[in-house]
Amino acid sequence: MHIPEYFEFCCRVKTLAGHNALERIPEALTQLNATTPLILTDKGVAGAGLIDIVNQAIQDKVSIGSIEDNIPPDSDLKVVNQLAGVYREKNCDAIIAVGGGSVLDTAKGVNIVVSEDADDLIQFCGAGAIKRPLKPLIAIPTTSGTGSEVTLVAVIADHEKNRKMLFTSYFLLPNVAVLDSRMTLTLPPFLTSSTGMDALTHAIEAYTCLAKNPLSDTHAIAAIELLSNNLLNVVKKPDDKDGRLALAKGANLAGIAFSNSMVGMVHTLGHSIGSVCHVPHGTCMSILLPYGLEYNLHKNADYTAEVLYPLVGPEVYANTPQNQRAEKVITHVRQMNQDLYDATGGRHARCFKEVLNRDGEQMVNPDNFAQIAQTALGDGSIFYNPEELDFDDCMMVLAASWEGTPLDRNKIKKG
Amino acid sequence: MQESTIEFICPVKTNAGVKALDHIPIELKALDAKRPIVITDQHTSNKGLSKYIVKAFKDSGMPFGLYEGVPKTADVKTIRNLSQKFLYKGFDSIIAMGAGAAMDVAKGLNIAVSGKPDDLNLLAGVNKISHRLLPFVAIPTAWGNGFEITRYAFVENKSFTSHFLMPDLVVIDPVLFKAPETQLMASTAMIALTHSLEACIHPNGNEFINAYAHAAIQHIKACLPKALQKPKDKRANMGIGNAAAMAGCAFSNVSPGLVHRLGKAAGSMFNIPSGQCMGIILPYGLEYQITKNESFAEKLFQAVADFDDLAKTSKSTFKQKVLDHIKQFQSEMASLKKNAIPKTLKETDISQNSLPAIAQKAIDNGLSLDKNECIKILTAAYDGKILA
Repeated sequence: MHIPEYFEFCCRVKTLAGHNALERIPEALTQLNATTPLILTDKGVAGAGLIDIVNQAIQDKVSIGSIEDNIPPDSDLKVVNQLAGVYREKNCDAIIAVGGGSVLDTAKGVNIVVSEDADDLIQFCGAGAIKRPLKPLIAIPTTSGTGSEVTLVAVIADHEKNRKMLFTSYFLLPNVAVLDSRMTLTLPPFLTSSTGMDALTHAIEAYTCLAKNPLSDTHAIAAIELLSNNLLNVVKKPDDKDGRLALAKGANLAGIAFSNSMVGMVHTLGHSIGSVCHVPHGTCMSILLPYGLEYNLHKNADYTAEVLYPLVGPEVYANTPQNQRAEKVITHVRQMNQDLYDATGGRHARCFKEVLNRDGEQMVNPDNFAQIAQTALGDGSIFYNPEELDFDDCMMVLAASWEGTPLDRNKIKKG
Repeated sequence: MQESTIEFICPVKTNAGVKALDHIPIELKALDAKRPIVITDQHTSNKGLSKYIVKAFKDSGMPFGLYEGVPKTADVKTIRNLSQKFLYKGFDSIIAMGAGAAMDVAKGLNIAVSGKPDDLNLLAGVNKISHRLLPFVAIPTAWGNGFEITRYAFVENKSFTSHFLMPDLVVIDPVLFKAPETQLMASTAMIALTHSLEACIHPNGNEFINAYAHAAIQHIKACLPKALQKPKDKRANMGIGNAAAMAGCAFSNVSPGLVHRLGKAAGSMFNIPSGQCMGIILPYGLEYQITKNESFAEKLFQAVADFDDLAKTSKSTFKQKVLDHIKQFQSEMASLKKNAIPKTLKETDISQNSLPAIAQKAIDNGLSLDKNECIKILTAAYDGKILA
């Protein structure tokens, strides 16, 4: 076990997980001295009937202030302010967020506004600006997932001023995260696969990158095991309730791990591809994960080798000689992407040239590489990657991951 | 199919390692605290440890109070005196440095100053506290009773159970772990080991609890042998401190187990550190629990073994390997040249004919197990032989 000279670890979110976890919400609200929640979600979640399920589980015991489903795919300042207005108008005293990353970010933003009575969110940007508990927030994730129900960050885009505001504070954490298998039961296979690989990337980067610590490690290992054992099964059999619950727990544990140990180049490049080409985050993670592991292999092979155990289980681990385990992790992840590609009829992309938008057009073009690489160099997560990355390194990884060919190990500059 | 909803909470942030103390002023600011009172016990101040907390505040310019007079056990009088001082001087947060009594006093003080003075009576019991208390930082400096970083507080004859009592922050700094106290260190390690392992097999156990329990056990594996061999090794001792804090977080999400209860009963009746008793009883108590539920063997083995062991061990030997692991710790503790730690109850002051009384005490304090079964386990721990 690696014990760093100094480390910090924190996850104050209460976790409730089960096939009937939603029914525990009224009690959770009472314990938080709240009676009138504002339910925030988006049209996709509402359309899938998930709000009806939440409603049914709580309406007898709770008087819901309002249900608002107008949150856009990217969290937006205007929407945050408008929803804060609804909160006040309906005399709400708690927020229940049902959805994925952007719903949770928006809910965290709304919480800052209504708790601090803020006219201008910008004063609360950065780290340490929020110093007191906010209003009660209950998070119900509907993907497995981003882990935003356990992260201390929120990103809100101000489209008018063309900037992204980043908020970091332990007080942004929801009070309670409710993981209920009903919330992801209808998640389509291709979204299940990409959000599942997103979670797996969080866990693996948390375990193999520079800021790891004993607690983030145990959370990461537990996450890898749950995700690896269940992802393909659930993609093939979407109504597997036990599998859905396992993925939800795995994504949550992965969120706890990475928010306490940072991530590495898979996220660095992934954020950049997302912002330049608008490729969904989970898709970027799936494709880049094996490349990140390859690129860093000469620096952290030992940690990568340990990932093999929760990834493949005791038999395969025992039959793989120690000096081949890290490689096996990389080939196994590539195989997972292949299996998921097959199981989703090609919708789970294995490389960036396969990523198509709704009109069937390629979303990433080699012409974009330079801009992506530039953007990556400015991303904070680059500092936690075990090996340095410069412009040429980024270009090399982008070219290989676009084509779907492994990295040429000889070309990796050893810093 | 998982039947019921699982639950986990850990309000504690962990800051562990070199110069951890120096971060305290910033952490307090982040909790909106500006004027903490530092509470410590005579043992800690006698060891000269107060100067480290004074130094941590000096550069920050944050004002603070220092009270070094906590007695050996927490009492209402001390808490009432402190709460008057607290309110009069306008403190807004509490820092407890030490172990056992200092932590209990701090928790009791937090109850008294966060609401009405009579809360110290009204809120005794389980889950009677319904809201956050004032910011509370815990700095373990010594070897304690395992309840420091937990949801429990004990003041005179009252006990308080609430996760609102847990510290917002635990600070584990190696500079505070310098004076070697091997027997007490080993006792703390055994409490942490007991709490972690029993949390892994508790009916309310789950993956979230295991994440803390496993981290605690890994610290014990990595640091206990070193701390036994080199009592002055600050980093090894600090590792045991980490284990105790993490085990406390796991322990606070389940109810105390069989070995905890028997160990505590034995320790309190004979004035032996309860961790020492728990450490002796541990293999026998676990063996008993495995015979009642075979699945426990795998859960316990997953908690103590590393990946290479896990990969090549066959299921039928899980139980034996778990017990061997614990007995290995016991052997190392017993073979110390100075301050060797007893391996069996026989080697302590405990007499064989008092085993029934120990069993009874544990049962009176909440252990639901047939008295004869308890005596069976205690007898095995007395003789050092496998369960009959």
